[in-house]
This record gives sequence, C-alpha cells and structure tokens, in this order.
Amino acid sequence: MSLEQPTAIVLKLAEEVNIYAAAALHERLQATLPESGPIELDLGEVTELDCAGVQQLLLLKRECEVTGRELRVIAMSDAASVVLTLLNLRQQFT
Amino acid sequence: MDMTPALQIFIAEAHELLEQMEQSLLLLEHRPGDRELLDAVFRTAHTIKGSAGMFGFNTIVAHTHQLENLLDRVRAGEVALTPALSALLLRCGDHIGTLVMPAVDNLSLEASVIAVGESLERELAQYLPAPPAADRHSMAADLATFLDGGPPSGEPPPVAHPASASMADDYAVFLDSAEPALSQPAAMVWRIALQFGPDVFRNGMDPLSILHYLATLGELVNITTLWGRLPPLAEMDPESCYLDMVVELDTMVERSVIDSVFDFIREDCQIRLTPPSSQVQAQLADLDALAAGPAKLGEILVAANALTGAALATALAKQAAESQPPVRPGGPRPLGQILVDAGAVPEPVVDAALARQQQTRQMNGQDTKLIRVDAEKLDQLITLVGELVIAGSGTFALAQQAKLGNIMESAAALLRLVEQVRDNALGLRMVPIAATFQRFQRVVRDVSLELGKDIELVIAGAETELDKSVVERIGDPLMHLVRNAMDHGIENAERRMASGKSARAKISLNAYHDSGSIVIEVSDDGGGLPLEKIRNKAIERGLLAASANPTPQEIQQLVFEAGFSTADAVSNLSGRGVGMDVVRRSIETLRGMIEIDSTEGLGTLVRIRLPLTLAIIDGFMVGLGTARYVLPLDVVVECMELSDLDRHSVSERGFINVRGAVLPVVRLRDAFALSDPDEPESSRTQGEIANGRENIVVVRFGGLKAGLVVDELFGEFQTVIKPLGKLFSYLQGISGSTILGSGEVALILDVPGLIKRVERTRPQGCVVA
Repeated sequence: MSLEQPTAIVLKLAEEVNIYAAAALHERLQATLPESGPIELDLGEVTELDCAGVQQLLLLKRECEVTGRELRVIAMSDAASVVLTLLNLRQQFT
Repeated sequence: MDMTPALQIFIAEAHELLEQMEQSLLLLEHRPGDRELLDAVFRTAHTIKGSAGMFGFNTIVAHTHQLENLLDRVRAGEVALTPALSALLLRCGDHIGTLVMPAVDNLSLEASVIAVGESLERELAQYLPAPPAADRHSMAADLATFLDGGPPSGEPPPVAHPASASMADDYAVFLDSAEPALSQPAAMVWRIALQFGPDVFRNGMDPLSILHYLATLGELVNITTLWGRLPPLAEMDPESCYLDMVVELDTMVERSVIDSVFDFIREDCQIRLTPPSSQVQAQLADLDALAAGPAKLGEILVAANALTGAALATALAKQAAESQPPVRPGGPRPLGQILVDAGAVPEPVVDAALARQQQTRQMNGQDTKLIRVDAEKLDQLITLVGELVIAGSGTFALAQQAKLGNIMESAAALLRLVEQVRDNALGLRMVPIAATFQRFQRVVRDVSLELGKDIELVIAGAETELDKSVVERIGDPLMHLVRNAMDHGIENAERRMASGKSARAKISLNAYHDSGSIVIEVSDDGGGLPLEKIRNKAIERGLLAASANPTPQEIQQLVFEAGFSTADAVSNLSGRGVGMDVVRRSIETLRGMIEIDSTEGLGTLVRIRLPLTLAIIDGFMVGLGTARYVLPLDVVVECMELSDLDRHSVSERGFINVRGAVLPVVRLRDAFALSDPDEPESSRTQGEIANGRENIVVVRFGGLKAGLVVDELFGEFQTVIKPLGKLFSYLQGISGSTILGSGEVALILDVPGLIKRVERTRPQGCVVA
C-alpha cells in the first residue's frame, strides 16, 4: 500500500510480486511514476519474486533514471534479495 | 577388457596418427622448411588431442597440448626446428603412444612412464615462453592432471571472472552477436544467450526456474540480465517478457545436455549456446577426426557435436523462409552464414566444417571410401571360403565320377565362382607393405645416430601387397636384417671414404611380386661379407670341412647356420650370433626362402621370398600310386612324360637333358621311400615300366629349376592349406596338408625344400656339359 509523504513516495510491495501481481503492480507504477519526488521502495515483505516482478522493478528503475528521480530501496526481504542476486541485479537496487 | 567400438577406433586411430606424425617428422628432417609437413605434424597432434579429449584421457591431452603449443611456435617461426628439437618431438610421439593403452584401460601409469613424461615436459617447456599469468594456472593444472594420471579430480578450478563489463557493452554484444564471446578466458565456461519471447510468462515459465535447473549442471559463473528491450511505461504489457539473459555456465556436460534444458521454452525463446573457446578447439579437432561421413554442412556440424539437431532445424527453417517471397535482398543466406549470424556456431568451426565438406566431396569423387573391419571377421571369412573351396571340389569330383554332363558343367561354373570369391576374399587381407617399410625410417635414423654412421634408407615397391598375416610376421626378421646391415654391413665413414664410397651409406628396402611370391630385398652398399673370415669361422665351428672347396655362394649361405656370427665385437644391436639363423627360421615358417648375395667391398643383398598368402593356394595335384600330392601351381613350369632314355638318366645321374639344358631331377618315390605297388617283389620287366608311365613336373623356385618324377598328373586343384601337426614338423619335403573333395588327405609338397635337396645332391654326380 502506498503512502504519500511530502518528501518521498514510499512504494511498498508485499507478498507475491510475480506474474499474477504484475498487472496490478504495473498499474500502480503507471499511477506513481508521473509524479515527482524521490521514491522509496520497500521490498521488506516480499515473499516471492519472479521475473515478471523483476521486470516491473527494472521498469521502475529505468523510468526513475530517465526522469532523474531518486530511487532508494529502504527494505529488502531475503526472498527478493536471493532472486536479485541470482540475476546479478542486486546492485541495481540499493 | 570391455572396450567399446569407439575406443577401439580411438586406439587404432591414435596409433595411425602417431605413425603419420613420426613419418612427417622424419621427412621434415630432410626438408626442414616444408610448411605442409609441419602443418601435417601439427594436425596429427591436434587430432590426437581432440579425440583423447573426447574420451577424457587427460594425460594424453595434457601432453599433446604442450606438444601442440610448441609446434605452433615452430609454425609461427618463433622456434627453429633443430635436429635436437626434432628428436624431442619424436620422443614425445613415442611417449603419447605409451600413454594410449593405460588410458584406455584406465590404469595408473608406471612411475617410469610418468618420469619420462615429466622430463619430456621439462624439455618442451624450454622451447616455450614462460606462460602469461593467466595461462600459468591452467598449465599447472594440466601438469597436475598429468602427474595424477587420472581424470581431473572433481571440481574444475574456480574461474576468476572479470567484473562484468558494462551492461551496455554486453547488451550490444548480445544483440549483434558479432563476436559471441570467443574470448572467454575460462576453460569450460559455456556462454548461453537467452532471448526470451513475449509469451514466456503467459506460458507459465519463469526464467528463474531455468537458471535453477542450469545450476544443477554446473556452476553458474555469471549471469547478466539485460532489460534493454523494456518498452516505455505506457506501452509495456506487464505479462509479456522483455528480458534477456547471458548465462555463463561452467560445466563438463555435453552440448546436447545443456540444450535439452531449454526444451520447454524453445518455441518462446531464442537460445544461443557458445561453447568454451577450448571447446571450439575440440570441435575443430572433431571435424578433423570426422571420417568421411555426412556430406551436408549441418550434418557435419551436428556430428562434430558443434550444433544440436534442433538448432539445425531452426536454421534450416530460417533459410527456407528466406527463399520464400519476400525474398531477402541478395537471396537466401547460406546455412553457414545463418548459423554464424545467429551465433549458433562460431565462425572458425563453420569454416572448418566447410573445408571438411569439400574434402568429403573430393573423397567421394575418388571413391576411396574405407571401412574398418575386425581382422577376426576377415579370418572367419577366409576359413569359410576355404571350406567352400573344399566342398566345391568335392561336388565337382562327384560329378566327374558320375559322368553327368550337365551337372559337371554346373559344378564347373560353381567352381569358377568359388575361385573368384576366394581371390576376392584373400584380396581383402592384402595390405601394402608400405606401413612395415616406413617404420624403418625411424629405426635407421635412430640407429645411425647411435652408431655415428650417416645412413640413408631408400624404400622401393612400398605399394607391393601381401597377406596381412605375413606382414605381421615379417617385421621382426626385417628388423634383424636392417640392423645387421647397419651394424656390420656399413663401414664407418673413414673406411668408406678410403674405399672411394660416399660418406653417406645407403640401405635399401625393396619389394616386388615374382611368380606367386613376394620378394623383399634388404641391401646395403657396405663392406659385403668377408668370405675368408666366414670360411675360417665355419671350419672352426665345424660347419665346413677344412678340405672343402665351397663356392663363394655356398660360403655366403653359411651365415644362416645356427650360432654363426662374424662380428668382431658384440654390439648392442646385433652380433650375438643369434641373428641370421633366427631370421632364416622365421622366414621358413612362413614357407619362404632367404638367400644372401654379397660382393666383398661393394655390399650385401638379402633376398626374402615369401608366398603371397598362407591360407589358400592354387595347387597342382599329382599322384604317386594311390597317394595324392599337391604342388603350388605357381612353381610349376611344365610337365612332360619321362621317356625311357631319361628314366635311365635319372636313375644313373640324377639329371636329364631338357632341350639342351641340364635339369636336376628327383624321383619322389625315392625321395619319400615309397615302395612301388605296381612292382610286386623283384624285378620289373620292360613292359611293366612302359605301362606304369611316369611324368616329370618341372618346378621353379627362386631362380632354381628341378624336375620331380611322379606317376600321375591330375591338374589344377584349389588347395586349402591345413598345417601339419607338431608331430610331423620334422618331415622333410612336406609343408602341409589339404583335404580333397573325396575326404582324402593330400600332402602339400615343400618345393623349396625339395629343390634344396636336389641342389645338395647334384654336385657329386653332376657334370655340366
């Protein structure tokens, strides 16, 4: 659930971040990204991450870079970390 | 020992290749700059390494690898091919030869062999530059494996991997696939490029599970996830896959195993497997080693394990699509180009495969396809053909007895066919003597170095064919003769110069066919046999009466007597007095004959005469009373009736006058001490003798002619030679037996033996007119 704060937008993803959740996540990104300000990504409660989910995270990452917004990862569950490490993408999300 | 056919082929090929390498190296000593020869040496070493690698014979691979490195430097002109280096290379070849059988039998190496290998490696290393840091590890590992004498222990060494290059670079490489990472530093790291199709997720596949599966095959060295294809936010379909990956997998498994991982996503996905660079080498070697088989590029690549069948099908489909309208500008690409463009096969491999294809086409054009056949199968065939010959003769004999015209005709036709089958079957076992002769290049080279003599070997008639079983047994006697010639025959350089000969001595091996035999000559231009010395020695040893006055020819033959050696000094090589008589005996067991012809001061020629085959001959059957005897047809010159006048001459003097020439004659009946059944007890009357007509068969062997007096002539007869038992080995004048169609046994006459006998008895009574 996203909370809007004046300084940063916290994007909290929880539980399954996979193909089943991808469409919903994509909608959230589409809603969140046009705004301005840094984004704080909370992956602390992710229990499952698959490539469809990773793909959305990468999209988020790229859009932030393109628009010059700051993206900070404020929490990362083990489940998410393992997948990102395997894919050699862990360093992209710090 | 349970050996798969593939291993047997490996062994045979390894030995063939090593022989080729040796020959090329020896030729290189005479033509040091010959690029083709050098390439040939390199190729053979390379092929040995490749095929040894396929079987995981790491000891061989490690050693050959060093050899190949050195050869590569020689080819590049960085190292000169000195005689010392050439000798080292030859010894390396020998060493590889000693490694083959232990590797195949999975035995650990004997300490001595390991020591030889180590010292060779050290010598090789002297010619090689200090390896760069990156290489040192792998060489050390090679050496370690070599010393262990076994397959590499468990885990391959961890691969130091450079921090992944910038992603953009990787991505460019990945998409263009211009250079599919051939420059990978690691040894066995496969590069797997995965371009996932949009529907991967929708089809229930997660690339992660593929990675997990790949991890079970080996070590995932590095994974690069590429997301350059992610569309803009608004255009992205969250359930489509836009990811690509480059996976580097360190594994020992084969390409097909890796490929099978992708069976489930093959339709959604583009997969490119790039073998480790060392595997590219191995594939090149595979291509080299590939016997003339498939003629299509794709098949060649698949056979060489460079491409999977599925990838080939994809490429072929692509090619077919390109030839459909809209036709691709410039027409459809060739298959090789498609494969290279798609990164399925590295370009060097495609090039090598194309070269192989060309070669195959040429070979097919020349129609020189060869197959390897187990020698045992050939022997079985010969045995069966032998039985067929006997059965055929039996049928023919029965038809003759029954006097049934049409059956005789049909039996005769059958017999003719059997004869052809026999000739063809025997022809299968005929091999050129070249392989045997070529071995002596090395022997002459090594021994002449050892003796400090400059000796050249000249080979002639190497294409002359003879039975495989004879070839196998002629090697040792020839070795003796050649060594003898080098040791005793050839004088040292000073003596040669003093007698006006060139310092470089010559030994010749020559082979040719002559009246049903093969003649092998070993000659040298050395000092010849010292007749006086031989004569004295023979008298001393009691082989010759002091009063005897033998001809030079007779003196020369004495060297074949047991325990005869004229060498002043017993050298390492020969001169132990067990030489020539052993040679003579082994030649005689091959039903052959050996003679020596020497001129003092000019040289010696040893001539060996051997039957072409040991199994079946065209015979000529004669009768003595009720007994049947067979002569080899090749030795029969003519037959004539024994006239009363000649009969007298035979019994009186042992020879007759044939058209003005003296022909020594032996009565077989006397020679075998047979009683005459026609002759009850006492005197024969003139009439009886006239009734019991006798005939002379004139035979020739090795330049000598003789007449054999027999009762009856039966004519040609195909003869399957059955050896006589040991019990009869002392029999003089009989060389074997055969079974007649009627089931009776006929003895085969030992013509050389009989002629010798005639020769020996002749001088007493013979007064040549």
